Amino acid sequence: MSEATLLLDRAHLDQVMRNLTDEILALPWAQSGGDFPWFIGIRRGGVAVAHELARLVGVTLGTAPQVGALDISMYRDDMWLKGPRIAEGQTELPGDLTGRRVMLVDDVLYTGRTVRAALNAVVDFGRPQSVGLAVLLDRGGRELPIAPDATGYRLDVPPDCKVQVRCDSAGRLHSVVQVHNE
Amino acid sequence: MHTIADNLLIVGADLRGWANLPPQTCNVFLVGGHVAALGEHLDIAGAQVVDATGCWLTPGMVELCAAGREPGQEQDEDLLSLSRCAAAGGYVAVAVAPDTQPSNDDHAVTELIVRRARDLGLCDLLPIGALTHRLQGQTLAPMGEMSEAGAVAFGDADRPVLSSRMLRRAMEYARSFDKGVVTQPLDVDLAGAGVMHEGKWSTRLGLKGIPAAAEHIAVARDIAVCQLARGRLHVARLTSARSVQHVANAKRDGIAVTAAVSIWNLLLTDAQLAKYEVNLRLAAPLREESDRQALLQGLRDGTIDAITCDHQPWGLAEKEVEFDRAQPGAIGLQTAWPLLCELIGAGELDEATVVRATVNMPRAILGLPPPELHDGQPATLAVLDPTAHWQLDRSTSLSKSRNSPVWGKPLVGRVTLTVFEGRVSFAG
Amino acid sequence: MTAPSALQLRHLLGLEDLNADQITALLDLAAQMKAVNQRRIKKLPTLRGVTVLTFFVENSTRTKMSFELAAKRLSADTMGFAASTSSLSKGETLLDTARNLEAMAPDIVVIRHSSAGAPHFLAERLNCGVVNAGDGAHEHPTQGLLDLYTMREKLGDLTGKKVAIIGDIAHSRVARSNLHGLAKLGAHVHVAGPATMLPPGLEQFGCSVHARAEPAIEGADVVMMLRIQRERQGNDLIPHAHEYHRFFGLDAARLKLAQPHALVMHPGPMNRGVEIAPEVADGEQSVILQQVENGVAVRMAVLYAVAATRGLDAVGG
Repeated sequence: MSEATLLLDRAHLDQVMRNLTDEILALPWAQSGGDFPWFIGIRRGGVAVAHELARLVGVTLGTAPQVGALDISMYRDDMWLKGPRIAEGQTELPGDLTGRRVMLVDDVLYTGRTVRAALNAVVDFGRPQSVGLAVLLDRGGRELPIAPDATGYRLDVPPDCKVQVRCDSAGRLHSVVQVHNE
Repeated sequence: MHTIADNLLIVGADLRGWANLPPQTCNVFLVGGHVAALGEHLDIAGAQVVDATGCWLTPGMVELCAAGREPGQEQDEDLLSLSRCAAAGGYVAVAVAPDTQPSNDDHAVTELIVRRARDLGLCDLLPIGALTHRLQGQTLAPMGEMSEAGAVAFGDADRPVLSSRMLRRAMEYARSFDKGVVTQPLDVDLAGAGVMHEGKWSTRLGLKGIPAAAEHIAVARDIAVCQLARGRLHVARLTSARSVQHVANAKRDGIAVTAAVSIWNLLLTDAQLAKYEVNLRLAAPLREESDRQALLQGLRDGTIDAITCDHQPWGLAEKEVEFDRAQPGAIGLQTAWPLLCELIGAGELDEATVVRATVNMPRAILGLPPPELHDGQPATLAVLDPTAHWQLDRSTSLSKSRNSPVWGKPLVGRVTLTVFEGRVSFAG
Repeated sequence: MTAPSALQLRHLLGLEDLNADQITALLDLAAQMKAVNQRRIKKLPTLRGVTVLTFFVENSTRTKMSFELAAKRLSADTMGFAASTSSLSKGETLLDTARNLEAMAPDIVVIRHSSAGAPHFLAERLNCGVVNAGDGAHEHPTQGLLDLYTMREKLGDLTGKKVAIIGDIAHSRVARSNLHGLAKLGAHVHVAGPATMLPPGLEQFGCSVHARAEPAIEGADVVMMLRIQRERQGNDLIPHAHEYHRFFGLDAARLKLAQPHALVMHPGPMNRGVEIAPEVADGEQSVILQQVENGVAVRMAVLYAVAATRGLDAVGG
């Protein structure tokens, strides 16, 4: 494993999460008082972020949105590059997505391919009324026309580096680091 | 026609298999196809030298079991390609099985084979005539006329004569012409649709098995019938330990029986079929290690007289198919020598046993005179190099078929030179 | 995370070739595929653009359907090639036919053939993945996997479990695949059948061999009955179906010898009243239909593993 450079420490990360929560609460659905969206974290990194976001939104609004997890491993477009893999967790949703607002949540937005796969996966579980996207970190470098509705923090990271959001042993967001690809 | 071996000095070879000379290092000078001089320190100025240091100089090997495929299946082999394979394999005589199309159950086919051999001049082709009409085990084949035409023995190739009465009559009739009978013993009913040895591996591979008993029951019967008919029996290929015992008992009892074993059964076992290697589907099925050991021991103690390379050429249509639909058999003439070297190298057979089983005993079984090396006689010999590396592939194979289990694999031991009746039939 | 290598599979010719990690990885993946099969939209885009060719030189409507459904649920394109419509009956060799099939550029050929080793033959000669859907009396690896899957789903870890396999072991590819797979997952297999149906050397699979059904069934966690082929009745293997049922058929009384929770399995199609009594086949302990359901998930896992492995090879990864 190559050396990790700290990008955001715990305190900074907490601030970023609050920013992200504020951005989400400024979105039209929150302003118009419509149904809460389900916060669906994209496995793996997005799930912890989705839970934390739901908690923060709940603190402000009094009720926390429902949270789910989406496994996109069978929807990726890089199977041919990476060989057969088995996902670490399955899709777990609060229910059928038909007619629901969905807020996809991920930790790092980069090329947009993960989100593309997630959009395909989501519609296999029903026909949502709308799908939004919230990301903790946006490191640029998009390869598909995808833009988030809410962004916690924008980063500039060299292309040969990976951004990792790390959690503590309790599964709470802990820090963000950058590591060189092997 | 091939060039006459002339002004050729074979230097430093080890003599093996000559009836009149013990094993020794010797130089041999050939002039005009004849042996002109022999001697340990022979040095002829201006001679073309063949460095045979460390090589065996033999009278040439003799094969007891080869399918010539001519007439009828010349797409797989013909008597020319067969003869070329033989010469390149260090053989100077090949007994040709009668399972051609039509089968060799008539003097016309026998004559064809003998005439082709004479015209080609590459090696002796010794026809084995059919025992029964069309190899069907029903009526006697005209063994007298075939004997006159040159048949050296009689047999129905790999088709067992089902009726013991018929086999008895055939053996008796062959005796009238002082000919032996060759059988490939098998209880056909017990063997059923088997395609390999019945045992652990047939169970694992899901292939139908041929129990060893299907062979040794029939070996025992053929021996009993031979005794009854007061005939001379040669068992073409033994595969199982119990069959070796039957032959040993028969020899002890003074019954005129000889036996051979295929080189594949000496080298390999049924475990080698794990990947459904179609070229190891053989008429003499590979059996277990205990059988292999018994066959080796039988050779060493003289119960088994000869080693055959069991040359069975088949084309792609018969071999590039499902294992249980493939024809049994593999080509073997060109690769016998390196495989024998492998057995010697592994300490499984000694050199004297190999010489006896490939040079001397096959001649005795076929009624050929013991080979001698004298000044002034036309030369027939093979120089065999036990250390040269090569492989059987498109560029080296002379057979029309490619069904060799060792195709493309590294081999050690190569034929340097074969001379047949004064002419160079192969020069490596 | 399962090591990626455990799922790498160039061909699936038999469970003999897989180790415990590979089998477990395929079963884990099959569990995820089963979840897809329980959704309203039973489809994944994973194998878009992949062509799966089913080449059945021996009839088996069910296995063929199961493979085709598995391929379709992964968005692969499927083509079927059946022996009756093929040129094999016209004297064309297997190799010729296979090369013609290859000219259609399939990524995977699923082959069912009456000759043991036919899938190995194709795997050595064709430039595509080969999945064995049953070869003679050799193996039927996806059946073996779906049996293992069903057992694991109901019983958990199979280590130390007793599995009885009753019937014509000699001619059963299902038995061989299960013998390999169960041994690798640590189960104790007990086989039983008339001696005419027990081939030599079964000990090599690490199983116990019984002449009578009862000791095999006693205390078993799973009782798997094999199909008695019609052509074997009244032949030289068994006198007739009635006698077979009396001594080797699974009826309620015999099933009572097994554990109360024991599963009753059968690869199908069943001969009711021959190897299995109707009340047992339809009883509470029977998981025969769940075997069929799990077959689709297992075959999805296998097709995915083979396709993705070949994809990796193609890009030189």
